[in-house]
Amino acid sequence: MAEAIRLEIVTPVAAAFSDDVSEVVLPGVLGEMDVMPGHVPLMTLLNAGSVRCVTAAGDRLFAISGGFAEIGPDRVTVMVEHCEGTDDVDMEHARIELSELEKRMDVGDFASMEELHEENEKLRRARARIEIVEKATARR
Amino acid sequence: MANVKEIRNRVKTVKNTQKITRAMKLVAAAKLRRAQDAVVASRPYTAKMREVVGELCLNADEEVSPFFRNPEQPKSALVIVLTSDRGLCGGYNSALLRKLKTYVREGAESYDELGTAVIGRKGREFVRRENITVSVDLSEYPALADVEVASAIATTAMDSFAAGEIDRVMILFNRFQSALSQVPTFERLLPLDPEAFTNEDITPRDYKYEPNEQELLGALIPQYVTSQVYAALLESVASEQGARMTAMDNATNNANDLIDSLTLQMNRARQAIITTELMEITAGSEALKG
Repeated sequence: MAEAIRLEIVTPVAAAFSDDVSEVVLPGVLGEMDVMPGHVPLMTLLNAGSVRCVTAAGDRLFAISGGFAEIGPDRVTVMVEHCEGTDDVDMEHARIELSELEKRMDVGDFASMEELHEENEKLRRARARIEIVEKATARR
Repeated sequence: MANVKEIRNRVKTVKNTQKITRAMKLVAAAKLRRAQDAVVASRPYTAKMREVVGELCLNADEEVSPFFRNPEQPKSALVIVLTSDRGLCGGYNSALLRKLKTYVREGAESYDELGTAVIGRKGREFVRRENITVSVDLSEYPALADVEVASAIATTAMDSFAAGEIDRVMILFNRFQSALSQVPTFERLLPLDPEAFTNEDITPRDYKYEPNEQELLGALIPQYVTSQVYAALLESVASEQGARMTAMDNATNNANDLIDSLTLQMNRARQAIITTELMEITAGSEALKG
């Protein structure tokens, strides 16, 4: 059985992350999933949310937009349009954005289901951004 | 013969123009390098996307997603044209737009409706001049390689396609080969063609799918189309900078030639004046000797 997973997070702009990890937690559409080495081949859609992986140097966290992941016994490829690491997040800006999005969600005045889905995805991403920074600082 | 002062002024203006063309060349070279880096950075995503969608496409048809709808007799088509906002880039826009004109003329016979959606000021000016139908207005988007722009273009095209308003979506852009050569290229964006993937070596693996194969494919198609548009935008921007760099390099060299020939003319004119003056002096002194 494979000892490590090669995790690659790829966006259209760049390869955001590429390293060996021993565990990955992904925001799958059917719920959060924990991937260990030796996983069965699986293709899954991802919600916007946070990705956590365990590297030799400790945990790494990312906030991603929706996308999908291709999972094999020894590799995980995450394909998303946007990915931010803990250093890319501007906390002040992120908090303001989140509260605005929550307000809009409370009002709940959407023209269509698509719009609601879009807003929901934005909200998830905004939450993930704050979550990863908070987790990272708590650990330090 | 023109007078020396006039020629000297012309040399000065040519030199000034040359300074500008040289600066533009350097700027274009720097931007080209950045654009090429962006192309390289996007390749893993585009390639993986193609691989996965290709794999899922193998036994997909219209039932699975409206984007496979492929009528025998397509009635209406949309051509997305990628041009630049700015000029001074040699034949970059004109070669592409010539191709568009030919396509529109020929397409008028096979399609009932043929509309365009144009990115870039140069292209918009052209379609207005040539009276080519613009069916989607993209004038709010700048001619930049940006994921947001790509996503907006892809969404507009997919919406009209899914609504049944158009049967074909093509994209026309300059494919980057080198700074010297850019090739205007047509690519079919929609409907998706499962056959287009088959010549690549896709080994169907035994995957499990979450939520299920159809839904996964349905959700991936918009991402896939966006990535295709983004790739075209990247190529197009790299081509623009390449074309501009070459054009400005040529302009700088031409200015050099012009300066050389003007300097020669100027020296001749000056020599002529000196000779005439000398002759007058000698003639004068000969006359005095009497």
